[in-house]
Amino acid sequence: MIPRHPLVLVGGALVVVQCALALFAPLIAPYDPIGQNIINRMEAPSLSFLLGADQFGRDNFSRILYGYRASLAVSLVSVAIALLVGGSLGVISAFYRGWTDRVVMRCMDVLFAFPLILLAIAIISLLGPRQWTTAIAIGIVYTPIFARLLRGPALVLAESEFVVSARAIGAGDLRILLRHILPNLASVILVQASLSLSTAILVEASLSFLGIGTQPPTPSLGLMLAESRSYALISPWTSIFAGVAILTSSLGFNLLGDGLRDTLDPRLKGTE
Amino acid sequence: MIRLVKRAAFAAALIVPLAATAQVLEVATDASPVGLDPHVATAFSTALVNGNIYEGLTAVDKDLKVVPAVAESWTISPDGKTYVFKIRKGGTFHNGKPITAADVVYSFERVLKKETGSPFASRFALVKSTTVQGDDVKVELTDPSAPFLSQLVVLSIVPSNHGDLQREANGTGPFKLTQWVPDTYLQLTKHDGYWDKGMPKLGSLKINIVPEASTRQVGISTGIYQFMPSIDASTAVALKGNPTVKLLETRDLAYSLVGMNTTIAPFDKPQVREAFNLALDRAKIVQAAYFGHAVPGGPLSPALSEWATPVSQFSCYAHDANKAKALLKEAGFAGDVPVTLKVLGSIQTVRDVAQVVQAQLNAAGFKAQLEIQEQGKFIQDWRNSNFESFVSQNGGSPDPDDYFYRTFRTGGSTNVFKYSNPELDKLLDEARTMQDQAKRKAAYAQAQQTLACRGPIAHIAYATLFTAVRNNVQGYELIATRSTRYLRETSLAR
Amino acid sequence: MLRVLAQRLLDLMVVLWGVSALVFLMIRFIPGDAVQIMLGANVEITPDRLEALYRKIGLDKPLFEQYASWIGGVLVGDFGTSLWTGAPVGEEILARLGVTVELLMLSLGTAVALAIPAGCLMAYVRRSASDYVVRVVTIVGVTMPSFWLGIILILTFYKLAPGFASIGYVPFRDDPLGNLSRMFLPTVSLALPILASLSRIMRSAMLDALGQDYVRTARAKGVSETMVIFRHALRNALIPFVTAVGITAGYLFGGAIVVEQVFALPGLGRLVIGAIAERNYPLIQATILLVTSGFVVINFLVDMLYVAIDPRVREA
Repeated sequence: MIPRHPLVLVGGALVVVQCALALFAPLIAPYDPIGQNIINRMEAPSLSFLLGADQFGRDNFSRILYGYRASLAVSLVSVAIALLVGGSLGVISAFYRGWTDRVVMRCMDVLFAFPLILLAIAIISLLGPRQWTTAIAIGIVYTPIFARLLRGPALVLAESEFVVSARAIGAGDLRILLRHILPNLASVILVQASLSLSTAILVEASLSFLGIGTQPPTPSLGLMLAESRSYALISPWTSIFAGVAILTSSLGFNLLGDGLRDTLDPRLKGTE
Repeated sequence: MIRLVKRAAFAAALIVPLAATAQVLEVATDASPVGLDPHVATAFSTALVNGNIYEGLTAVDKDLKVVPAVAESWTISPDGKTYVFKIRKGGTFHNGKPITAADVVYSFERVLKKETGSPFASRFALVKSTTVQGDDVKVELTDPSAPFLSQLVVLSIVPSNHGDLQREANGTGPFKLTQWVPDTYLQLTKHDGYWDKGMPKLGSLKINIVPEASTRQVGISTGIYQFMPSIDASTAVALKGNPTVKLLETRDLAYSLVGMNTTIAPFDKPQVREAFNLALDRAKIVQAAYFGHAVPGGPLSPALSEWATPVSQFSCYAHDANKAKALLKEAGFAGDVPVTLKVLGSIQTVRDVAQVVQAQLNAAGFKAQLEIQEQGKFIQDWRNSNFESFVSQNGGSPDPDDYFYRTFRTGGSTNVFKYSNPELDKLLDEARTMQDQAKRKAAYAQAQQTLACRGPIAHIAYATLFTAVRNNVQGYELIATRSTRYLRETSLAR
Repeated sequence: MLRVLAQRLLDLMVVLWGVSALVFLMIRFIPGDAVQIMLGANVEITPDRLEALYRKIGLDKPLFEQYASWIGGVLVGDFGTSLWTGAPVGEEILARLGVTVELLMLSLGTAVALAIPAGCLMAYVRRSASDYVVRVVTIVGVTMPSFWLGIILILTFYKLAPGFASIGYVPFRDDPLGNLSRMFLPTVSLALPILASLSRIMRSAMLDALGQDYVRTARAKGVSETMVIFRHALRNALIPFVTAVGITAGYLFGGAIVVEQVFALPGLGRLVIGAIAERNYPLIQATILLVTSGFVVINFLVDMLYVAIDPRVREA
């Protein structure tokens, strides 16, 4: 069933188009994204360079296509990590309560309290700057968000009648968790995951912007923005288009999440 | 109480118009100084501040000639081992204490003392004794040292009754530190007891810390800042053609380089190091990363015109990707040779150079990967020789010995490449004590030939050193060492 | 109720202790230390001299001892001294706090002042085409990277109206007009993203409130729609909105870090980024502890608010 909510449609379309662009980048891109040719340095947008060229004469359009790849890959992996680790922790602490709950949630509080960017900086400094460490860092930063978010509804579910009766007929913990609790959390997860993807793209961009995310010459949207900003007074094109690309990719997931929230779970409307 | 306040306000009202006539130069720079002790803190960002607070016995002028500073004049014994410095009279330190010969001796001792932890100590290892001789200071060396006078520039003279120098600056220089708001600005005010009467011309320097390049560019374009020292090429290009800003330029002693660890594969093989040099197209790097504002360079800066061998005389400086591939094959490598380059991330030019170098290497039989590093990590890996190769920028020194001896001699204090070449060691040992200038030149010419192609460093380019000033800034001269000494002669036109 | 409060307070202490340990360890495991940074790259030094430098700033002691002496000081209100200026860390933070607080208040104030009417408007026109337009616009606001916005603003204003592209900071009491004109662009770049998210929260809160029985009753009684919105729904919608504002205030610090960097504002964000780059340990520790404490305490208060409102949570 495809929800016919306009936001879901618009957001979904944006996401699908961008994923397709990223996936088929090698087929679409007119130039090698890392091929340098300084004759074309800082060209304004034209028919041969649709979005202009950067300070090394690399084609912005091709780089943005490949940049979607890096940005989307990092955000997908990081949200998957956060969902798996944080989600399980949240559900487990809701299910077992007592000391497990307190210990786990206090650890999550410690992580959650840390300024997000600083935590990511520290983790990347420890692991060294690579694409996958960026993903891990963002994943860790987002872990407490999922833990907190899923704990609440899981708490209610664990007390609900069908769980109580399932337990009465002798179902094991794992079975209850997988068969009864998890499916009922699907909509919460779906909404939060797509909203998190939207912000993960921004965090990846900020980290690359600060020089500790994706490493050059691999094009990532944040990195393009970071590298071009000293040249913004001479040639603003790279900065502008990289910024717009970040905005649209984040926008797609956010619209999708917002729309999903409206359709799937009206009770969630009030939460942000 | 109220009356007291009123009187203070009245006094302030009297003082303010007077103070307003003193000229303030608004300076913008990207990084805050890290520590202030002139004998210990050696980061680039500290030099801009300390260079105006402290002076050595000697200084280097815009032609890179050694000129008197705290020492008014000096005599050298015929054997080159004894120096007698005449100390200036009439000047005071910033704490009001008159400058004496005893302070100079104290400063030598402080640098050499182990507890100080001064990185400069090894440069003065030849100093046998320093003694007060009336108003003069006698320095005896164990061996004659050609670069001694130019090295004295870094030995800042401090008063023997100083406090914690890391926190309270106290020198003989034209400006004294009056306010430090970390990461925001430092206020340097004219020192009235400066030995050179009539200097400095400015009332104060306000050194603003502005981390974002585009913000600095907008700042000087709108006149918020009036002086931006040592800007990189991209900023210079952005400011070119701006009618309100003047760009001063000179050849930089600092250079971009790729350093190679000569004890681990693949750079343990000299052929690989030569192949690396052949793979580089320095002219293209200059175009791409420096916007053309640099020259390819060898082990010595072309600014040192007396010493530097022209790059046309280094065989491996003619870019030849096929020859590079052939050399790699000769060294026993079948496919592309994987190399990782650690990059000092805090300088835009270095990051740009690294990207061009990477592209060129990959077209010449290497498979290069970049790792852009935060400054702290980079320095740590550099000091621990924890790299295959790195891309960085080094400050140069006006005398070849100062650079060569510590960098390339076996066991040299900055020989992080673990390079060891007994022939070169012998040459460097001899050259540093040579008094005959022509012989010394020949020795360093030979050293440059040895180092250019198979040494541990692929020297890349010496940039044009730009400093941007507003049109009303007068009397400032650039020095290739990046010293801002001429700020004492700078003034603002009305 | 009292037992819950005591338990939560205990938890709060535990979390703060955890933060202090985490920040202490974390910054020490980041490669490169204060001494290395001070020396810079390409500087010669012998190992024994290097050791003397470590001893001077106390970095030669075992980690546990360093931690114990730091936390001991913190408990009696002594946060140590900055490695480079020698000033007490507490003083340095206080000197910078004003700038950040001003920036946060201005941004939050602007955002709240605009978010309430915007949210009401969105709730009023809900499910119509204009609702979607407004929502998309606000989502664009949320997804706008504030560092990018900052740079674009500076450059645009420089090209179009150079007078407005003022950079740096002057204290409000020295020059109120100069202060506000310099705060204008930073406030805009920080306020825009939160304006977007706050107005969406306001919209949802209004929709919830409009669905309540007493609103229906009011409508049934023939009270006009405007009156319903402003007299009845708005008051109730403000409760969740204020909670959200509290949480946003905590998040805002992250944004302030980047914005202060772009506009060269001497606030806490600059302080902490600079301190990390220079490995000024006492300063990093104190700043992060302060910021996280603020965040944790706000969260604690919000939690307690929920406890007071929702009996189900109280029992759990």
